[in-house]
This record gives sequence, structure tokens and C-alpha cells, in this order.
Amino acid sequence: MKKHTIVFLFALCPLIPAASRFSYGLILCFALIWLFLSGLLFRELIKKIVPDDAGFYLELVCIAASATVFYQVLEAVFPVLAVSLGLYIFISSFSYLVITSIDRFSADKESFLPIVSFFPILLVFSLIREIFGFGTISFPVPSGFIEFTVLPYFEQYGLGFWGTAGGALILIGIFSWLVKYVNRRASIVKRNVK
Amino acid sequence: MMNIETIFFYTFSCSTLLVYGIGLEKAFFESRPLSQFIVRIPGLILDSLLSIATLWYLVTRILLPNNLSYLIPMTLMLVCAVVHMIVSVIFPILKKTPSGEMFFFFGIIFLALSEAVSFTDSVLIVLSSMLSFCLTTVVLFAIRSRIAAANVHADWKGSPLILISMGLLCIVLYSPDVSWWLTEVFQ
Repeated sequence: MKKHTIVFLFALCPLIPAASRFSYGLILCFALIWLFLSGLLFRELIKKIVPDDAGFYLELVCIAASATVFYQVLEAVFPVLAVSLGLYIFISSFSYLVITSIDRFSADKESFLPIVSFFPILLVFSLIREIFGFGTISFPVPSGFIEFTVLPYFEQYGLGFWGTAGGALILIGIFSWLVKYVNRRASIVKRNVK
Repeated sequence: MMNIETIFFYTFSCSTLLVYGIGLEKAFFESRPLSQFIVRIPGLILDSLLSIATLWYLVTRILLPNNLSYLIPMTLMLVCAVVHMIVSVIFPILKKTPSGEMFFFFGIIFLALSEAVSFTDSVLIVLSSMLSFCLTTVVLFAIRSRIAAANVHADWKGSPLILISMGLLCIVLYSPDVSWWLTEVFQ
């Protein structure tokens, strides 16, 4: 259970600076899926062609190429969001999360994949951040994103602080505490039942 | 003066580590006891400076004028890999570079290439990013030591308190930008 809950520590980079809105979280999810799948394909191909150490760098070049393809598609479909997320799409292509997941799947197809547990965390975290930070839920559209107001009095009483990087780190710290607390309570209950 | 502003911007007020998030995971893990990141920093600085020096002219003189900007990420990876292999000969400690460090290295080079307006600017961004990483890791190491010695509830120990401390550190670093004292009194 523990390894499922600490998975966000491997991907603090897109999670903290880029997931401030739900629409960003959605796009980053698709980017990570694309990078993971294309990374797997390149890993299998490169393993057969270049079996030594240079294979790792060649694999990174190929993942960078697939990130470029994703960016070009994003630029064509959602040009405004491509400008906001461009840097993070390329940075995610060599994130620890993607490479570790590819390594694990390649070594043992049955093993735990950090990236699979990361998707719900990314979506829920970006949703919570947007609701508490902007009072809205947004979805990507070609002109940027469309916003639906969730907290009507946010302008008067809301706290935009949760939308910032500092707020996000504090929020994820609280989330981490909550997970630890729930795990501990659950293990106590389990022990008492036995 | 502009150069000092760039250094302050990427080190403190818009820290590469805490605001851009590049190397956050690495700082989190390297701040644990027995980490030896300081020994690898000179090699990493040399690695980054050589990479940015090679890439800057390659990107601004060849790729961008010929509308080949889509080749930048692949070129970056190739050049960084070759430079890293050469630098590993001078600094053998870099031969066994943890993957997290490689990603931090790629990240700062990518940031420098995408945000700099001149070669000097790109070098300053790389150096500021390194400075930001070192300062934050040392501060986090101190925070971890204090937490380890303190009487804190078990649920709060470890990642929750470190992440909250990182958040507070982030706020503290850009507080001078919004401080009434610095923006009103001294101007």
C-alpha cells in the first residue's frame, strides 16, 4: 500500500508547477500515457538493436522525439494550452516517473507501475487545486479552457493561494499526512479484527 | 545589474527548483542523511556549462534560422549525452550518475534554452538553477535534522512535514517581491 501512496514523490515536477488547473491535469495525463506507451515501444526496439549502455541515451532521444510529436498535436488542437504546458511536456518526457515505469514494465510485466497510480493522483490533485485556488473546474478547448464556476462566492471569500506552487506543496504535504493517518488507522482496525 | 537580477530571479524569487519544479524530486531525496550530492556538483556544473555552450550556438545559429525547432529536444538529449560521457572521463564519480540527477541536468538545460535571450543569460540560468538546488537541499537537510530530533507525531514525520516546509520555503523566497517594506520603503 505504501508504495502506491508515495508515488507522487517521483513526479513532483509536473504535479507542483503544472497541475494548477483540471484542464492542465487532463492534458498532462494524456501526455504521460503517450510518453509511457511510446517509451515502452522504443525500449523493446532499442533492446534488440543496441544492447549496451548507449541504449539508455538513445532511448531518451526517442522519448524526446515522441514528446515533440505530442507537442505538435497539442499545438494543432489546443494552441493556447500548448504554450502554457510546452515546457512541462518536454520535461515530463525524462521524468523519473516515466523512466521508472518503463524500466519496471520492461523487467517484469506483472510488477507495480508507479505511473498507473499517478494518474488518479494527478487528476484529483489538479481538480482540488482548481476548486480551492480558483473556485472553478476547467476543460480544454481550442481557445484555452472553458471554466465552470463551482464556488460562486470565490471572488469575495476564496483563497487563490492554493493555486500557487507554495500552496500546492503545502496541500500535497497535508494529503501525504492524510494518507499516512488513514493507513495507520486501517492497520489498527485490521489488527483488532484479527 | 541585469545579470544579478537574472541570478536572483532564478535562484530565489522564481526559483528553478520550487517554482519551475525542476529537480524537486532530487532535492527531496538528496536532503536525506548520508547523501553525497555535493561531491558530484562540480562535475554536474561542468557538464551543464559545456552542454549549454554547445547547444546555444547549435540551436540559435542552425536549428532556429532553418525552422527546425522541432529537432531541439532530440538535439538536446544527444548533445547532453555526449558531453556527459566526455565529462565522466574527467570526473569518474559521474560515471554512476543516478537517473534523477540526469533528469535534473536535462531539465535545467531545457529551461535555459527555452527562456534565455542571450548566451550569457543561458549560462546564468544554469548556474542559478544549480545554486537554487544546492541552497534548497541544504536547507531541507537542516529541516530533516530538526524534525528527526523533535518530538513530532509519527504521521507527520517524513514526507508530510518536509513537503509543507518546502511550501513555506517557496513562499518565503518570493515574499520580498510583494513585501511593502522592500517595494515601497526602499524605492
